[in-house]
Amino acid sequence: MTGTIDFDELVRQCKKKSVVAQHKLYKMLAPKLFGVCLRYAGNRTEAEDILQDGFVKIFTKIGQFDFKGSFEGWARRVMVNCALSQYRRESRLYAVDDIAEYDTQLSPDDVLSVISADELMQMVQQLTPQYRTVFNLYAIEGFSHQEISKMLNITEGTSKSNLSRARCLLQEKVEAVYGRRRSNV
Amino acid sequence: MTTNNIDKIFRNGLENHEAEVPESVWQNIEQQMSGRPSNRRIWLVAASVALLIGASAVWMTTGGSQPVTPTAGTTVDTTAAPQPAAAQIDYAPNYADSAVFEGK
Repeated sequence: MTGTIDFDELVRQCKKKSVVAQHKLYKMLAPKLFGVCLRYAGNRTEAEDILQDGFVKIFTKIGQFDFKGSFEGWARRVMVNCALSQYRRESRLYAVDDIAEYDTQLSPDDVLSVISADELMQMVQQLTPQYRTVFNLYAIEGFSHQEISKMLNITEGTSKSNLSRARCLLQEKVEAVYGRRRSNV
Repeated sequence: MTTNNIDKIFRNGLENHEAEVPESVWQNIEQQMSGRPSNRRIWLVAASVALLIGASAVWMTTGGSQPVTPTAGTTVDTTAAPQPAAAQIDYAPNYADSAVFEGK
C-alpha cells in the first residue's frame, strides 16, 4: 500500500457501481463540494440537501463522464446545477434598479488577513437567494452575464443589476467588519 | 475575468473552501442509491399504518356495539373509567390518592 489512489481507476469502479469505490470518492470530494453547496444555500441544512442530491446525481450519471477534463470539475458542475435547480424550485429572479457601480478600496489580501472564510461564507448566505446565486456564478464560478442569463432564464440586464446589488451589500458588510477589527488593533 | 475587489476577496476566500460534512449525509446517499426508503419515509409509513389500525379499531368497537357483545362492553368500561377518577383527584386532592400514585 503506497497510499496513493489511482483516481481514474476509482472513477471506473464507480461506473461499475461499486459501493466501496463510491464511498472512497465521496470521502475525497465531499468536503470540497460541501464548500460549494454552502455558498449557494442559505444555511447548513439546505446545503446538506444539495450535497445529497448532487452526489446521487454524480453516481447515477457517472457513466456520462468521458475522462476529458478533471473529474472534480465535472462533479463541481453537477453540484452547481443541483443548487440551481433547488433554487429554481423556490424562487424567481427579478430585475432590480440599477445602482452606481463602485468598488472597495480595500486590498483583498488585507481583508483576508483579518476576515475568515467562515465569516465570508456567512455574509454570502445572508444575501437573498437571487443576489447570492448571481454573485456565486459570476464572481466565484466565473460565468459571464450571457451564460448566467441562459442558465437562469433571465435577461443579461437582470443578471448585471443583481450582481451590482450583491457586490454593494457584501462591500458594506466587509468594510464594517474590517473597520471594526482595524480600530481594535 | 473580473477585476472587482469584492469579487476577488470572496473568490480568493471561498473558491476552494472546504467544510466538514455530517455523517448522516453519506447514510442518506447510500439509502437513496440502494432504493431503500429513507428513515423519514419509514416513519411516515409506520405512522400511517398505526393511524389506520387505530381508526379501524375505533370503527370496529363503535360499529360493533349495536349487537351488544361482552368484549365491546368491557372495552367501553375500561376507557371510560380513568376520566371520573382523574376528575375526583382534581376536586378533592388528598394524601391517600397521591400515595397510591407514588407507590406505583
